[in-house]
Amino acid sequence: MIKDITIGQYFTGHSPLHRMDPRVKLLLTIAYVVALFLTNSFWGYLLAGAFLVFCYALAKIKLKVILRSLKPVIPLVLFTGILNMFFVTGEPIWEFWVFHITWEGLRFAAVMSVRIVCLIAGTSLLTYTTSPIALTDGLERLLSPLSKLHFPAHELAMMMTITLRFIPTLVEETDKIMAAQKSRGADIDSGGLMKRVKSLIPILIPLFVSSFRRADELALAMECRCYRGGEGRTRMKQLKLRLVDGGATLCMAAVVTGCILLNYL
Amino acid sequence: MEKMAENLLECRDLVFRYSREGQQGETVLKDLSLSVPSGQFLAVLGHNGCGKSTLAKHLNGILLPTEGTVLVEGIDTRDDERIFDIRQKVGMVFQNPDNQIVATIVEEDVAFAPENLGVPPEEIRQRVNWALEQTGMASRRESATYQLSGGQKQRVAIAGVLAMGPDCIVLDEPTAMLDPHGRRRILATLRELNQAGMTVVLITHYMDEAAQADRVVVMNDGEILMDDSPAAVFARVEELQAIGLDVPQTAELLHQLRREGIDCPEDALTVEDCVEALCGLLGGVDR
Repeated sequence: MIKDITIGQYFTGHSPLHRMDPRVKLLLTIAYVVALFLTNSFWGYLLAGAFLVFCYALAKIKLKVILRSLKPVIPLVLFTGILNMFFVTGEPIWEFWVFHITWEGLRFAAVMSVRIVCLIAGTSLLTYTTSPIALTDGLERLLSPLSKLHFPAHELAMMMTITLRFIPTLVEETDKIMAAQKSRGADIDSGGLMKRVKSLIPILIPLFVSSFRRADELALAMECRCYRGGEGRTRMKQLKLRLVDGGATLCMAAVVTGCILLNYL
Repeated sequence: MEKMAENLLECRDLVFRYSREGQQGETVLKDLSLSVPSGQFLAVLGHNGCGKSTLAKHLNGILLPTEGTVLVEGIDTRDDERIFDIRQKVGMVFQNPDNQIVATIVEEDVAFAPENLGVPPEEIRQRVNWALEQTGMASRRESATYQLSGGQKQRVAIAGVLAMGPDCIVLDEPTAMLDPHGRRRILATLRELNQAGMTVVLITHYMDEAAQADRVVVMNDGEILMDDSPAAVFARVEELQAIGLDVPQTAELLHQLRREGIDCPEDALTVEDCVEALCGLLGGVDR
């Protein structure tokens, strides 16, 4: 049931997007998100959307995966869409009692929906094409100038790595504990909200206890492998800026400029 | 400087006691002495709570002795300044493979230890390739670690330790959570490593695994009860059963036959050897 979470998942591959430097990818993703919020013209969104489709095609990510990652945000998209449709003031095209739909409302609803979908799909592409370690590595390097100000860049990156590493393990364990409690007669899926929340307790407590035990053992194993913080650490995969990074930056610069210029068309 | 050590690992009169809030707790290891020469495949046997895991944790300085000393290539594990030298020389693999893998991708996990040691990137790459070859995991180098089977995860854990460049690996019940197939692969990997010169200390409670070692140490209640070749240890069937251990089925069978007055060898521990010995007894029956 919890197995089909695709946000934060990585798909191995050898596309130009996979080969890009994670630092560049992180910064370009931020640039793309900014561009999505700067643009407000139809053509601007078309450009942003087309660029995203092009990137997905380049990364060879299956359509099924994208749809699956968008599934959880459908309620959000519908909610904001409908809300905007009814509550934006302007020239009405349809009225009923206190409800009225306006051209501006429709337009705004469409804009918001496209914006959210592009936002999710765009940021997901980052995690689909970047291994979590490369991602945290990139983040660590980007933040490392701040470590002079005692910002714990390495520690933060290590915590993220371990969190990502243990998500599938803990999901699997949750499923196991649920099955074990069900086989002992626990009723998890029925009853009112309060009853359901209460029935989570026998699942969460064993999960907590085992997480602490895992953390303890992992710390021991890390010590045995000579872990002593970020100082003096080297990395197997060196981050190098390559031609593909330059190309991607140029493409993104064109898209961002395009999105802004199309506002004035 | 330290003089050339004869033994890779050496425990002298090792006593370990848990102390809680200043009070003396239970004594887990009682005056234990043990030397492991370089290149040996040593199995440590014992039932739960006999102190074998505690002993393992002394071998790379995770636990420090209450009394006595533990030397790793002549370095005292109490020497704070050289603790990372010791940990690099003695790699340790634990029971649960899930709780010792740090990274989400196989090769990145194997690279963890050399990265910590500050090894240059090209050399890390070589070490990772070598370690993955040794453990038969080279084809899964880019797999996600959570997609592997228990046995494969444990082989990744062994590769992660090998990449550190240790002289010895200590494995604390590495096969306890694996299926029979995974167990056989791990044992085969360990034997290959040992043949290539690696010192292996295998803590286990599986008799058939211990039977494949050069030397077996049987522990009971914090003390060494037996220290001999597998054949000699498993010939002492009653003593082993008295402390709650089983013997390999082959040893048990031959022991029963000998008790009935049938003359058969004591050292046929593998199934093949045992079949051969029995066929010999039955008088030239072809297998």
